[in-house]
Amino acid sequence: MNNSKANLSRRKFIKGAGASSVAAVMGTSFSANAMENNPKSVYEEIYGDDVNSIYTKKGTSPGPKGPIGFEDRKISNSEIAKSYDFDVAVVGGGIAGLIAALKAAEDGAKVVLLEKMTKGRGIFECFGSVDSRTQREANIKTNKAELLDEIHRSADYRIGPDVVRTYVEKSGEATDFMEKMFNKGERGVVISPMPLKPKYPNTGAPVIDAECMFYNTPGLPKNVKFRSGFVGVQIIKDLANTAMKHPNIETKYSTPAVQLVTNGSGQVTGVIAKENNEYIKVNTNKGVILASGGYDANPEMMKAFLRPEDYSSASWWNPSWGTTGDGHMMGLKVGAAMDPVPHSVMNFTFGSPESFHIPAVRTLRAMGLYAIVNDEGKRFVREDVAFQSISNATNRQATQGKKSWLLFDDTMISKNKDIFDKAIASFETLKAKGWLFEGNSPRELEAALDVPNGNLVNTIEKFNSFKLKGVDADFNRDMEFAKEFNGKKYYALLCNSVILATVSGLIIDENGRVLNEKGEAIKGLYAAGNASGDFFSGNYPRHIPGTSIGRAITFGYLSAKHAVKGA
Amino acid sequence: MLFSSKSKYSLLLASFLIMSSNVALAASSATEIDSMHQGFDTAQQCMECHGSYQENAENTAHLGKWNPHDSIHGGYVDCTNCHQQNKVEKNYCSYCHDYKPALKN
Repeated sequence: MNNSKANLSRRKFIKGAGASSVAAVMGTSFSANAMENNPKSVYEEIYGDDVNSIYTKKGTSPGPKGPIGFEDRKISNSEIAKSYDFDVAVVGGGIAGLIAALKAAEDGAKVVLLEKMTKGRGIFECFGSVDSRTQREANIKTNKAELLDEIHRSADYRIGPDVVRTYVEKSGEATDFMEKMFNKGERGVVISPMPLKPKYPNTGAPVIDAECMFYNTPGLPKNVKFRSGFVGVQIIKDLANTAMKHPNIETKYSTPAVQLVTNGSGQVTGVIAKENNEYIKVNTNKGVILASGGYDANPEMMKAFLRPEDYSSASWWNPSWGTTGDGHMMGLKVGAAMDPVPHSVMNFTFGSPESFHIPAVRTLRAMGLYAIVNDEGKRFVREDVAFQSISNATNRQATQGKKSWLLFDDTMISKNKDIFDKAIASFETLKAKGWLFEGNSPRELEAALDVPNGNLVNTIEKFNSFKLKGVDADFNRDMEFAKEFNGKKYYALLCNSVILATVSGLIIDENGRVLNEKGEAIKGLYAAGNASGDFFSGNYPRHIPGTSIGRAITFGYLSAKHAVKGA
Repeated sequence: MLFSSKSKYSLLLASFLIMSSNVALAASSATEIDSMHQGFDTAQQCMECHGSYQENAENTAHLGKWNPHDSIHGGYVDCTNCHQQNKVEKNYCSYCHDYKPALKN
């Protein structure tokens, strides 16, 4: 900041705080928070008069704030500096948006890709898919009925049948299209089937073989296996590069979409965006595809649509903060239906109070072996369930002010000496932060953690007896995958729920078309990925392979296909 | 953060600041800068004097891929994520990475 200090105007200070002529200082300006000086929240007003309040105890959403693109006001024609004509406009340059833009362009449409940020959001190292080329060639036979059943069961049957059935039927086709795009690209990305880990996590749910991965891509750093996010950044980079070079695609970065344009009959005919600090109007004759992601970087929206316990004690992992729910709000503004509140969050366990525990710690074998206790040294959940379930149980403890701790000993860290040593070295940082405590015995660890006398010792003894009997009488954990505590060093690592995304959104049909409250398609409007809905309820089901990114790829592809060619 | 081990220290710091603000017009330049920033709590207010997101990104461009104002994950983001008035409260980069701007690549 040293260089910019010279440019400071002291006059501004004399004027005092509160002066703000926003647009004058922002290259790419975003709307000021529409909630300021507004007695009613924009997230409440978006429903018009058709709103009901469910009172929940106030939560604070301590996560990051991204720049909001959506504007909840009438933008007059005189404010529009430029107009453009395209067949299709795609809002968002993450995985869903890039696949949508590329599919529409490959099918001959003229496409504009509007991305609010300087880059689209990265993804992860694997994604859900059924019967793609690589899976067929590996002779993988996914049990589709079982997969569908598990998706419905995980949503507590609160979703319609069409979207998830379409995912199961069409994700392979979408994956094959994506593979073609990688073949066009420069990175040499390879898709291959994700090897199954039988019975882990052991959720009582079937183990379903329906996932692909990017790990076999040449040139990824050797240690990339534990750096999922790193892989995802590369994937997006490659697809974005292919999109930028595509003759049918114009990419506009740092260009937030702010509002949809409709004609007299409610059909979406374009989108207003902000380019170089001016409003532009993009007229579309085939459709607008909302691929703007969730809203984990919009604290006010989190508070409006989620359970307070899901975010109040969580940390955040997503470093791409364009996810402020712009697509949700633009859709609602033109009469779209949305998943009912409370919405679902994608929450993992193994979080630190800041994000996700650092790589050296993530390599712990203990990730599958630990016991989890609260500040009182007592277990409160079976530790072998899926991430979201442990996350929820951890959040429940936090509502009563109790932290959660992963208990493990030195026999559980790793059998590989190099990994073991790395983990031990990383513990120093964790200890300094007050996130990790250790002792030479359960008793010593108990004292270090300040747990009530005897509780931790008793918990460990009881756990060991469960291992011996092969039955967890308290929580029914599968003890086959547990290990008794018998090491020389005992550890407790602070364990947070960590939020990756929100996964509820606008109701769509099997073609990605956004529906209104009557279940009719809003002509010219599509949604894909985390801006879309009717797939999850309660939480993101981490135990089902890759449905989040799988859904983004599938409906990015299907939306574009339908927009350009019809059903 | 909920579990911040620094909370005790921030209390101490807060009481120190309250005490020191009673020292009339302290000569310390740090305190002067602190008081200059009183009430400047939103990104819009920051940018009144410090320039746009892009200008800030350019000012720290020498940090290469560690440029916090032009993240490899996409920008631009609200100043208040990391800054509170004239202090860096959080370094979000360091939440997942060893933040080493000296290592250009």
